[in-house]
Amino acid sequence: MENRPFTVTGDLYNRIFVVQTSNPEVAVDYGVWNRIFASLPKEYKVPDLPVITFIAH
Amino acid sequence: MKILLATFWLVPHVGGVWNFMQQIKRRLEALGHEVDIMGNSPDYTKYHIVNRGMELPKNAVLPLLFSKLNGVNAPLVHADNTVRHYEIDRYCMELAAAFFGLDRYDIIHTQDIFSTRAMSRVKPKRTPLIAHIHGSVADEMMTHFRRNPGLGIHEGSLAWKYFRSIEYYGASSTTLTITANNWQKQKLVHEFGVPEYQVTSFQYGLDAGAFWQKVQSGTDFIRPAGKKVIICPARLVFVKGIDVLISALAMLKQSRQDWVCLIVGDGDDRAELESQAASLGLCDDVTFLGERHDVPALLAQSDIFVHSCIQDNQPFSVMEAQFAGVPPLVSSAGGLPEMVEHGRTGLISPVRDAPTLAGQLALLLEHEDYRLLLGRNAKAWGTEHWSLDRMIDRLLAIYAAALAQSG
Repeated sequence: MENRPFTVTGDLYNRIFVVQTSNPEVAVDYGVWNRIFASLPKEYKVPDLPVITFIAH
Repeated sequence: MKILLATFWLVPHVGGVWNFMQQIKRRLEALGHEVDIMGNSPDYTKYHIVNRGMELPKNAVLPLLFSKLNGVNAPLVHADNTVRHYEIDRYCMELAAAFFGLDRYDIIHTQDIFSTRAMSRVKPKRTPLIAHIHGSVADEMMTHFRRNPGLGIHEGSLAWKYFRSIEYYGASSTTLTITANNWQKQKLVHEFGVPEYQVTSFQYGLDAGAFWQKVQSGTDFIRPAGKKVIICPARLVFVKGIDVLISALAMLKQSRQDWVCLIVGDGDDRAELESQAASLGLCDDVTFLGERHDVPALLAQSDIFVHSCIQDNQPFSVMEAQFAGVPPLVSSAGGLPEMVEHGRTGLISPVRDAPTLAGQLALLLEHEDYRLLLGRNAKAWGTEHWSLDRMIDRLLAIYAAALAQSG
């Protein structure tokens, strides 16, 4: 039997997104995302605003 | 020390950055350090630390990235396909690095502007970030856009500004950025606005033992009797200017035929270049050898080396030619004039100047003593200047200073 990952809603990780929206339909692998989330610096955000806003000027 | 070498590009792959990383890894490990290499997988489906078997498939993070960074929430990311491609892949790299864990490393040493920006955003604050910038992605992309006006990308376009932005933010996000020469340093400082104090330059090194071992391994190429061998090892792409060499050879053939030319390498422009050579009546004079693993041995069989590129930084092919004592004829592009002293260790011609290159080839074919003198000088200078030990010593000194600075 396939060992399926334990999934949770991706909204749990909204903190890393500049614009936070609710997308309860997107399920993510808890093991993967929890490990990523635990390692990211507190101030980490996507998109990378300095790089992206430069191109608007 | 525990060191992470990271690149946005593919690992492993055929090319200079991978060879450079492997060379550093071998030498640092011989000195007792631990070195990991992280990069894109060859099929682009995951990021991995290739020597540890650690990987994160991109499809583990892409669904959430695309749902949260959609066209409404992140319009600038989606306003241009090129921007979206590079940015989303860079965010995958950032998340993969977090997944692998960067806190085990004493030093992070990146090899391009994308991985540099990526690592700067996810590394522990105390961990020094050293970047080696091997070329200008922005320059290469601008050249590509100019050559392909059908793409509709010009100075005001988002993609154009994006590469300027990532070049600046990549090279500025470091503890220290290293370039291989002053040309690259000045470019970063004056064209892209990177603070001068943040950039240092020192040359690449070449593993002399490995080079001479490959020379001794030999080659199946047999020099034709009574002909001198001109060699050009390069990727067959526009920026390498192989078409300039072929034009020069057509001019040379009008005055003398005591030579053959080996073009060693492969690339997108191969069919076009073969067609150019055929149309100029050079089928019997120019041989396209394709990708080869015996370049040092081929150099040992050669008499003149040519690198007629349009843009280059500090190509290993020129370093190897100098090691082998083959006089290099190079263009004045990029960092090449810092590698060759005109009239002493080789000859320099203006970029895309086929007549001058043809004249220089004829000069060396005509004057054997001068050709041999340039070769001897190139070998003496190159053996001293491209010492791998010296490069590693400098790198370790930079690591130590960065660690001391980080406390």
